[in-house]
Amino acid sequence: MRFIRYALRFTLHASRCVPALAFALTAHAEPLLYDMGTAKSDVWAGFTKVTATNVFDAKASFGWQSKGGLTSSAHAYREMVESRRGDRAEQPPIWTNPITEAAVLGTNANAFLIAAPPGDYNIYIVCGTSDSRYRAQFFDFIVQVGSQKQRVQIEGPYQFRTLRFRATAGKEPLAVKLSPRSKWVVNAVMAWPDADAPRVQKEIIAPFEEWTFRMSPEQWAKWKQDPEPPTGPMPKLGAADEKRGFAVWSRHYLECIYPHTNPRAEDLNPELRAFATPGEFEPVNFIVRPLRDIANAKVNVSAIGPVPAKNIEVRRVRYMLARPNYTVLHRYRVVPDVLERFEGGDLKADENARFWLTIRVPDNAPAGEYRGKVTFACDGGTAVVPVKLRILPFKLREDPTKIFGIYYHHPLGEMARAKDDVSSEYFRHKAELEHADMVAHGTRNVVLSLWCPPADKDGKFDIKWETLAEEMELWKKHGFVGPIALEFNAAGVYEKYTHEHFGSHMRGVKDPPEEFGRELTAMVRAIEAGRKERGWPEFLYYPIDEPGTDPASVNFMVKALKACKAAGVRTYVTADPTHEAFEPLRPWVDVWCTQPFAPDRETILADMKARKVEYWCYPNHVNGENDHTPVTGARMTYGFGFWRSGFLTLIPWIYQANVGDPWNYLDGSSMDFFNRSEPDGTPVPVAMWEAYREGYDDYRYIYTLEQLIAEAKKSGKPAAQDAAAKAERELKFVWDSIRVQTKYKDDDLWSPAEFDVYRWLVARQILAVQNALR
Amino acid sequence: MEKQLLFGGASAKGWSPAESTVEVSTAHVKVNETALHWHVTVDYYGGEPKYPIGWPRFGRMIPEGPQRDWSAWDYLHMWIYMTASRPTLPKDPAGLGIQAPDKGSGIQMILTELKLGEWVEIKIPISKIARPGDVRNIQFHIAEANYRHQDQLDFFIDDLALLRYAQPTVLNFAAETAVMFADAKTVAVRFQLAGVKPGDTVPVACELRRDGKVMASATAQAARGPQRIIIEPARGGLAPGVYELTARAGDGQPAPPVALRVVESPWRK
Repeated sequence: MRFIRYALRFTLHASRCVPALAFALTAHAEPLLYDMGTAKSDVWAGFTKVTATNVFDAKASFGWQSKGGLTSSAHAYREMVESRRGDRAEQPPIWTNPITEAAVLGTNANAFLIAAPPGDYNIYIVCGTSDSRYRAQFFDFIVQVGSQKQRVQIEGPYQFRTLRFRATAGKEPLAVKLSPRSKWVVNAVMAWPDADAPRVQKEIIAPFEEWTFRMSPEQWAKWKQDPEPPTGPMPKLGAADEKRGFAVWSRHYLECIYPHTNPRAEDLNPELRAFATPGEFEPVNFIVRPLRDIANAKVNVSAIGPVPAKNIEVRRVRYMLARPNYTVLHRYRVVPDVLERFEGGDLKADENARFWLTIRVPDNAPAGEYRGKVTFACDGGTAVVPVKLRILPFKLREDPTKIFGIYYHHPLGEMARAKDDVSSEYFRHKAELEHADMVAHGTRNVVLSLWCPPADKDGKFDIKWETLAEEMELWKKHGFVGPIALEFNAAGVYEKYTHEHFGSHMRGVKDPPEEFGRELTAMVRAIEAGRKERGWPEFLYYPIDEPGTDPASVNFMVKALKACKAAGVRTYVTADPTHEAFEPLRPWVDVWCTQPFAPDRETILADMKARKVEYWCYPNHVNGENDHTPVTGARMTYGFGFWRSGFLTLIPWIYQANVGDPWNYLDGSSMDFFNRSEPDGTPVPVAMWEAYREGYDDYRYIYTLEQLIAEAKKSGKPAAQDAAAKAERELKFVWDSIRVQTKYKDDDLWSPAEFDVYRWLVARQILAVQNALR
Repeated sequence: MEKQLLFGGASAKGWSPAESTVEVSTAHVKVNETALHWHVTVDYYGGEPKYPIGWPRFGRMIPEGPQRDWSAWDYLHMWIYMTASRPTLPKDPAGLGIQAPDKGSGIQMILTELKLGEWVEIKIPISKIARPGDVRNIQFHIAEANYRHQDQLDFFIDDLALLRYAQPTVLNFAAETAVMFADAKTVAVRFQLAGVKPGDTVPVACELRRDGKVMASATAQAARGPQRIIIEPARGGLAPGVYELTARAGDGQPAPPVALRVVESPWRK
């Protein structure tokens, strides 16, 4: 009787339920369904609206334990939005539904109470916010039901977590307790008895999760899947494979393996082999092809000689739905992408599961050839994959003339905007972890920015140094190297004198007045004075990103760069120097940063020598401008291609960029780019990021050999000089084998296996010259 | 080579130009009596209001029927002669896009080969088109940003045709790895087989030689299109050194041989 009363009550509450939803429950059982939000936010059909004012008391069947510290928030995204340029409609950050569009948030410990009829219940809770005002918020809280606790950590808006619990209702109401470290957020609470479980799963949870973690049915209907690349026939498998229900195979890690890529006969039952130097990371991988659903899969690695098992990281390649290019709409592919930590789980029949192992050779590991093994086990059986590792007797050297950098959305920027200590600490910790990850991947430079408003009426600049100072501390701590490309507020000075913004790529920019140039020079002088006072590395002044080629844009750039240079600094421009429209910029640019390796080596070396300019490269074609599959192109760009190019720096866009839900590449105005994060901010690499490191290592092998050749030539030892001459011939062979391109991406690259042979050719000469020098 | 003319100069009226003109011309012809003449006056201020520095272009739909099926052909071919009011060309002088059936599965390419005052032959392998059986649109374009305002550009396009080999022919023959470790169990070669009718196969024989001596070989029946053949050396692998790989399809001409360098393996045990 009481149960019926509650059911009636929620029907009355659901005053603004969305009529078109097909997921409303049929009415024979009554799960308890609560959709949190504001007075005006929508409600998922069949749910009861809960706002921050619904406090539980003797009359209420549900509500908050107390109203202290409660707020609610709503932001619905149901339509396309105008792009920042204002020239097209684009997707909103996420497609909200009535549950995700609104939430109740709290800063104090609280509980959501439900006066449920006695019995056992399944509880399902949705946490997250669609409100962009929480960009600098790190939600960190414990959800407790009965004695079970789960921690929720969410950075900012647009991400949602779902939690499941079991609970028993007796005399006391069911309680979903919320204990914030910073702030908690809840979108919905559902409770249902076991008998309703299949129906709730099918009619509510499945459609809700599809909408929330993919997109609305209406939007999803517009997306089409591109097929996987063609693959050969499945080879005949052994009886043991059939019996245990899976086959084990391997291909070079640079080759993308799609869910249904078939192995070749020679790929089956592999032995994994690698060679590396002390201190180096080296990937190997194997793939499990389940012939039926697999339960309880586990991967265990043994030590490999002096490499302890804890130095071998096991990750599983996660397939993502990705756009072929970052702005493409309504087309996607299923691609191998994120390397997620793997601690066991189930595998789906007929879908490849690739396991990516990164071996970290200790700095003091003695040279030698070692063996180890990887054991894959599941309910069906076990497979042992042997591993061979040769550790070489030398360390790789760093070329001090080259910089491996990356564009970066610095978490300390969010830290400065965070409103509580827990959020601040999260962003600080995230920045720490990401800097350490960059260093581990050879990256020791990021683009930074400094906020400086235009001059006040007295001509003074109120420069906001605090965040940059924190960033520089981190820079120093992790041994980053300069110079630093520094974005600063040239746009603000332009706006001060023209009273308008210029668009992306400076579309529609006006000819600025003389005062613009004078103030820009003064601003740069003020920044320079502060930089020198703090003993920071050189700044390269970067007034505008990717200027357009039209005459107005070029005219503006000439004036802006000229004004910077008048302050006695070097300038940095992201533009293609081979474009004749940029010819007028030439006298005012000190560092050209260009996407392709263009102009060619001879041209840039001559120009760098003649005019002291520098050529840097931002190879976005192996970063965010694709679906993360040009892994081979990434290694070529970072190693042999970089060496051949003559460029001084690689600095692609970007270490991590998120648009909407960072785990949904199809939402938002463009695709999310590059590395992901675990809920606590720990970096999660993508395969291309690992390929960067391998390219960086290729470069270090080459540089080490070049240095040894130079030392051998100077040594006066005939044997060393002979070895150097032979090494030079071998290096020339490698040089001549490079199929030079301005952009190494997908086509006409070395095959994956060739990279290791060319690296070995270099390594062998290092051994020979090193021996001859002894 | 067999040829099927797609569009000659007389087809000029069937093309749709934007921010440019297309007409039949006899001013510059290479093979046929007339060519397509595409004229562009670069205009930074006219054209589409949102993109005044835009993309002058001309293209056409390919009528439904057999003309849309390029799958039995090996190349899209044309000759282009270009003149301009400027002394040099930018590095991206013009582009060509093919929709098959849409942009997503078509190709976009920059015609970097173009030269001023010279006929240039363009041969685009049909194998670059993912779905060559349903080609629906062809379009040439320039990016005005690559030129100066008021540049005058004239392109003469002759012999826009499909080509194919009349005899089985091995193209782009290469070792999958031009360098390999001596303990590798297999040598893989890749090539494109042309001159074979769809559905037919021919034997392709590959040999691995050193100092003129055949060290290993493999023969496989192959159809047109991309192919991969595995050669298995004798047990124990190959001795380090330089080898030569050869291939021949049926009774056709052998493909140019390619070198394979075998290197001592890093793993001794």
